[in-house]
Amino acid sequence: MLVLFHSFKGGVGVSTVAANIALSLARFHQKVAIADLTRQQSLNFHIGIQEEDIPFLSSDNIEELYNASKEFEEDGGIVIADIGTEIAHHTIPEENILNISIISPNAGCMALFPEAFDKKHYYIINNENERYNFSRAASQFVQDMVQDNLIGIIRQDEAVNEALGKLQPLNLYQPESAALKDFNHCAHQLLRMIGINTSLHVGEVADAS
Amino acid sequence: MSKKNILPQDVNNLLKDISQPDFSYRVYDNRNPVEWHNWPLLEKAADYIAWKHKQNVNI
Repeated sequence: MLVLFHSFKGGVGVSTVAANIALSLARFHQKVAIADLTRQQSLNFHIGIQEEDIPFLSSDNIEELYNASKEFEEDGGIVIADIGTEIAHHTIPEENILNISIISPNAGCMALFPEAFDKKHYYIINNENERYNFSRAASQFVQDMVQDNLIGIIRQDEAVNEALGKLQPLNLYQPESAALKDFNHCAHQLLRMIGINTSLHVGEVADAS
Repeated sequence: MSKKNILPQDVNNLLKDISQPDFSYRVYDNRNPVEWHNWPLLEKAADYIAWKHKQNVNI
């Protein structure tokens, strides 16, 4: 399965979410590869400091990536691609890819949301902070709009930033991090969506080892 | 307000029968549809989405 992570607004943490979900999948013993179609090429920065060995597929566009990933997918592999804020124009049949849009519950993102809202996409809310009134309301709003297309919510957690600053994997820097739990949860939900059943508990045990 | 209404949604989820095979995995069921109506930006966004839906604009 080719999973495309994108956002209609920059700076919402697409690379962070894509990288951490790829790492969670690897810790769940799934075969996973990553690809970065953005100009920043920051996905490798998130993956590079981790212990997990995740192959990097190099390609210039989605069609090329799709062809490159076919072989990988035949053995049940999952390809996580960060396409940033690019609009995904491609000719690949919809059933062969999963579009995941990352949303941050802030006013700028909410102003663009109605125009970008696509019922065929799945959504992850990143950087939610329950203590801030607008963040909480915007998160509820998105949940009401996208309903069952919501994969999960990543709570705002400075540990993500700190772990990168320390050049340490998040699961080692702060194993009890709220965001880490949320990334694991989203990865688990993603696996359920593509028909792979795994136990979240097994993944957590693997984390501790 | 009845006691049932002030029970947090998360607790309600706990009371559901999770042994059912078709139990929805969604745990983010803590939506409070009232709160976002206090924000004009979100109200306008909701109206716009509803309008697009009514106009049958592909969303």
